Order: sequence, then structure tokens, then C-alpha cells
Amino acid sequence: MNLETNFVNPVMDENELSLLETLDHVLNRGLVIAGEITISVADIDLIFIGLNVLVSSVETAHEVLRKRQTE
Amino acid sequence: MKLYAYCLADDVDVLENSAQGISGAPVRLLTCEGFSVLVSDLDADVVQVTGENALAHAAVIRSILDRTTPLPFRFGTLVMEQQLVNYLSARKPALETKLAEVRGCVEMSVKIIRDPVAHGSEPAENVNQGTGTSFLAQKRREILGGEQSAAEASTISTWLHDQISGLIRAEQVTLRPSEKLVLAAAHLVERSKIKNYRQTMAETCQSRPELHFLLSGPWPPYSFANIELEFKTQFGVS
Amino acid sequence: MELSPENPLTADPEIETSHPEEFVEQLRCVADTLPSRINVDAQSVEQGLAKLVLTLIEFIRRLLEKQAVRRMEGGDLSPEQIEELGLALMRLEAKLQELKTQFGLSEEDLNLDLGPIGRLI
Repeated sequence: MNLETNFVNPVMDENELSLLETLDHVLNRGLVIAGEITISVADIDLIFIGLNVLVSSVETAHEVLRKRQTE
Repeated sequence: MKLYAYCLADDVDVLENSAQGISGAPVRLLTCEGFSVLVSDLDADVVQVTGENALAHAAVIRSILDRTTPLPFRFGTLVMEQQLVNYLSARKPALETKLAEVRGCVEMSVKIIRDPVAHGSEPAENVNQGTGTSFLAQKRREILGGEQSAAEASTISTWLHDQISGLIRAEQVTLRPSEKLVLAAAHLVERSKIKNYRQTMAETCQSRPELHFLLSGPWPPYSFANIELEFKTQFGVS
Repeated sequence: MELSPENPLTADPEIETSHPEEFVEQLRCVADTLPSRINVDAQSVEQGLAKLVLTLIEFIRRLLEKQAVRRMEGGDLSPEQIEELGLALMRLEAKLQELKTQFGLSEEDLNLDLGPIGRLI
């Protein structure tokens, strides 16, 4: 598809659309370093890991329940 | 002085020309643990979410997409050098696995707009309805109409997947059944298959004129650079 | 601007659509909910906790909305009660949106997979 033939208002919409689409891809995605620094401190370690363990426990619990129901 | 981190790769030794970074700062390579990270200096505590910064972020990552598939860092990643080094060393296995998963690929994006289904006859709205009552009436429409929309959205998602499943390595799909922008999909496509993918998508778009499509790409693998799940399984409770 | 099998990619991602205005309209809604500043690092533990808490609140909020609609349908609420309930839920939704923005969290961030319970929502 040729870009030019598909845009009603090439100058205006193209720029804004391009920016919005870029924003949509760039923001809130990608590797997150946040939280890594806490690994070096023992008690904050526990809290950070704790959060993930909490989430994992919920999921693990559901797995167990699901398995029981199908047995 | 902090570092703004753009992306990470394992097969880049030299930076030829990269785009200018945030606030026009020059971008350089930081190597550690077998990884190369594109960084620039930034003397700040927060990063402004502006179009300019987002475009700079995107442009820097874009500039090495020609020769490798990097893992993008989240926009706004501002760290001390030591934090970055700690991160690379602590997450080395997960990062290596993720790099292998995206190797040789790029991200292609598909968005679909569909006019939300009319939910049958609705009682005429009382013009004197209070704000709270209107709010609930709207929620009622969304919730009751919800199931039908959800089924439709799911059908569209499956249909799209079936068109290109042979051409993609992975996908990330977000469905919003009650919105016009009902589906947003990210496809991880091998570079050698891009032409084929584009052709197939062109045919796909034409086959459903009642749906409106937006295709974009190639992008770095923004949607496939999340290693948090790995962390969860590592520390998951037994 | 075709990709050759060897490698060279185009300078910028291409965007193709027959309906640019529609997509601009839809994508603007997403852009409107963005925070104005981000520091992914400093928020770290705080953000992790906020994410967990807000996810649970969001789950409960949706449950409350469903329940309110069911009661409304059931016909046992007076018009005044419906109005009050609606206003309260409206405020709750707005408050949650504010908190999400404050912590730089998106809708996807709060999408906790709750397994069988999630499907009851």
C-alpha cells in the first residue's frame, strides 16, 4: 500500500498519527530495571520477592484447584 | 549524573552513528557481562513524557535495528551506572533467553477498529436523569452488551491469528471488546518473512472491509521485552 | 521501501491505514491517560506495591459495578438510591484513574490474571 494514496490529510494526520502510534509502542513496554536495586538489601529483598511470591501463590493455588476439579 | 538506558543487545561492539538521545545528549555503549547497553547521560530525577523525548527514545533504538534485534528498556529508565551493572549481572540468564527469543526478528503491529455492536433496543433515556444514574445506565449497557462484544472480539482475534500464524514467532494481543479499537496485536516476525507477512496482511485487510485496520512496523520488539514473568517463576512458591 | 532478505530496514516504521482520523481519535484517548513525568527507577518498590494494591482495588471496583447493575436491574432500588450509587461508583472510577496516573501505571499493568475468579468478573 502506498502511503500517499491512503491519507486524507497527509500533512496533519500523518504526523499526529505517527506520533501517537510511536507513543503507543514506546510507553509502558520494555525491560524494567526498577526494583533491582532492592535485591542488594536483604530485608527489601524479602518484600520484593514477597510481592511476586504472593502473585505466584494465587496462581499456583488456582492451578491446584483446577487440577482437583478435573480429576 | 544518571544514565538514561535505551536498549540492550549482545552482538554490538561499536556504535557507528546513533540518533541523538534525550535532551540531545550523545549516545554511547556501555558493555558489561557480555551485553551492550545504549545509554546517554542525563542529569535529572524524572523524564518528561513529551513527544520529543518519546521520539528520541524510539529513534535511538531504531538506529541499531538494522544490524541486530535489541531489547528496549522502558521509556524513562534513568539509573545510576552501578544499578545497571547489578541488573545485567542479576538477570543475565533471563536476558540471554529473551535475546534468543527475539533474535533475527522485528515487531509488526496490527490495530483493528470495529463499530461497537448496537445492543438491541434500549429504553429511551430520561433527559432529567442525574449524573449518577446515567453513569450506571452506561455501565449497564457495557456489562450486558459485554458478553456479545467479548465473543465477537475473541472471534476477530482468532481469525487474525489464523491468517498469519505460520509467519510469526510470537504474538501479544490486547482485546478491548467494548471499544471501537477492539484489538491491538504485536507480532514477532523473522526479518526474512516480513515481505510475506506484509503481503498476507494486505490480503487480510481487503478480505474484511467492515473492519478498519492500522498496520505499522517494523519496530524493535517493545512488546516482547518483558522478563518479569521469568522472575516470577524463579521465585514462585511451591 | 521493501526489506531485502539481507537486512537493511527502512529508516522509520511505516504506518498504513485507510482510516487515519479514526485511529488518531482512538489513540488520543490512550495518550490522554499518560502521566506527565516518569521515573521508573525511584518508584521501584513503591510502584510494585502500588501495582498490586491498585490491581486488587480495580478488581473489586469492577465487581461492585456489576453488582450495582444487577441490583438496578432487579428493581429493588429507588431512583434516589440508584443516583447515589452511580455517583459513588463514578467517583471511585475517577479516583482510581488518578492513582493509576500518579504511579505511571497503565490499564495493562493492572491486568492480573486471576484464573477462574477473573472470569467471574
